[in-house]
Amino acid sequence: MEKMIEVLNLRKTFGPARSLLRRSGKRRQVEAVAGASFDVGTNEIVSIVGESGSGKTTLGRLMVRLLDPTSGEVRFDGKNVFGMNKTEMIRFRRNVQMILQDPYDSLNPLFSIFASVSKPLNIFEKHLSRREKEEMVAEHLESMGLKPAEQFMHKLPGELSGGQRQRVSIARAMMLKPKFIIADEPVSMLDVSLRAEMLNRMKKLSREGGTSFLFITHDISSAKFMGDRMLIFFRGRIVEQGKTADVTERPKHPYTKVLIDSVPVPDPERGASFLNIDDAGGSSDESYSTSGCRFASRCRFVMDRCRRAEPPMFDVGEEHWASCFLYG
Amino acid sequence: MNIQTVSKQQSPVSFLARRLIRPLVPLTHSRKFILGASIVMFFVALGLLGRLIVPFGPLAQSGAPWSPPSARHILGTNYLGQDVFSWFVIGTATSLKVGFFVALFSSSIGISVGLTAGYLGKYTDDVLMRFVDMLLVIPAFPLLVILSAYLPPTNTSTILILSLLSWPFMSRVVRSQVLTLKERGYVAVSKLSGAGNLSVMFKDIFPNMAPIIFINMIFLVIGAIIAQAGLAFFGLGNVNSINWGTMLYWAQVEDAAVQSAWWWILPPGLAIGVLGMGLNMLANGIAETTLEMRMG
Repeated sequence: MEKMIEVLNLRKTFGPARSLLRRSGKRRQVEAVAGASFDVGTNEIVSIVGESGSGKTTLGRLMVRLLDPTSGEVRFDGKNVFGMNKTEMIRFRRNVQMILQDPYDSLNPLFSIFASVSKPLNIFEKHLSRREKEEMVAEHLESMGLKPAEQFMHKLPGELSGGQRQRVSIARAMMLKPKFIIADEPVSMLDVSLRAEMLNRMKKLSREGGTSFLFITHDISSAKFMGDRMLIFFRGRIVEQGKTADVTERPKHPYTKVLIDSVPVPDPERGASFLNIDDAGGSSDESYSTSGCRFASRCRFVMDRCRRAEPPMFDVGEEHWASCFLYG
Repeated sequence: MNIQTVSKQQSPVSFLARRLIRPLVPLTHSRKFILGASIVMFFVALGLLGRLIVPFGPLAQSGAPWSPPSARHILGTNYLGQDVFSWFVIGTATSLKVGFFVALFSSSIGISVGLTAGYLGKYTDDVLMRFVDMLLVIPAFPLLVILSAYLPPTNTSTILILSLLSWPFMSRVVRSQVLTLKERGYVAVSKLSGAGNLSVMFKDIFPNMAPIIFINMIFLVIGAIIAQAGLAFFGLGNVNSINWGTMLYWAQVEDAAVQSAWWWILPPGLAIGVLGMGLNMLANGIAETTLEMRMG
């Protein structure tokens, strides 16, 4: 499969900002993304699963160049995004979009829905008349289930519900028929009753429009529903990647196993296995190790070598890799 | 059919009008805002229509010196027999003018500095903000006194001096607003939509902090009126200009208190207090209303 976007050894460290008067502080640096490498092919949906604080959002923001990395590259059509000049950047913005997590934050409260959604048109399709823009906006809003679009177009975001706002955000992202969309937890702020519908719509848009998706989520079941491939993210690193079916049915990395076990299943026979997971480290500093394998302090199968060196990616099946010494 | 009528109702012009007026509607529910606005409007009207309603020329000797309030002289006369009411009304215009222009000029400087520092960050921010810190720690009033001693005593130089000294606080406020607003999701979305820095700054960031800027402009008006009256009271600036400050200056120089001519001292003093209160209520009304909307 042809590679649409390629991430090469991407790193982003947040920490004490250097400035004129503050050389360095006592605050520790945080490695949000620590050497992630993967790619997304044309017409492919890849999901990234990770717990909160694992660096998923930072990864997404880096990939659309809302942030600059500490090191590493993101290549779009073979070109490094961070070295693009102005014209290349314009092309990139046209073809790569992102859907943000919080629908209450992602629309300017002072602009009407029409103004927000048509913004990309005003910048990239200046020649269109207002009438044509209105038609295009209406078409996209209706494809996201906002019918009749005329009733929504001239409202302000404050007059819409969270679900409606997220539909608007998705419609905006789809406006220019981008080749690649990063969806950063697009349904995590929505009612459970709406999630399936939104996921279905996005999947449909991707399949019909030929758009590649990177679906970022903490919820392994929606990732399983959405993605062709799955990447498991832990503390800024990819610990396992492979086809969705392989990863969910034959998880290799101990962290993936924990993730899958922690999904509540409404089945009394299987019992509350997820309640037995004594892994409530949360995001405290003790919940992950600072050297060697980051998962070592929470891992059931921990070995001496795990604490000493970071495990490389091992081949564990067909197009299936895990970063764990158990397979080394 | 139904859809057609809906889209006809929403012509761009009516939509624009709706957008401009609608944010103001909740303000009318705030009693503070209404009261503050009425007080301010009263003084503004007095200032604008002043020349039409004054009974005498403020410099004309229209009665006996030191005469107390009467039907002919509502606020009595001063030591030269000039009508205090006429002085007061004409003075309103000057005081308001100083307040308005100082607020306008100093907030222009403050907003530009704040936006640049907040949006560009890094070294620009450091350099600009250290300069602002420096201005903020200099005691303003003594500096005002010194500067006014060097400049020609006109209202223009008073406006100039006050403008140059009162912007740092505004720039701090604007910068802090930019720092929070630029992290908002819709700013990221705008960038993703291909908008440039200037567009993001003036379409996404700036309009969303308009209430806070307006509130601070109101405080600048109050500050400028008080500072101008203070300078005039000390005989700095143009003592021959007619405003609330020079009224107090002449009252003090000619010993109005010894003559128990309360009608000469109270009006400008009270006016400064009442107008200050009115502006404050206006600002509070806006702050409470917009904050409530942000929360809800």
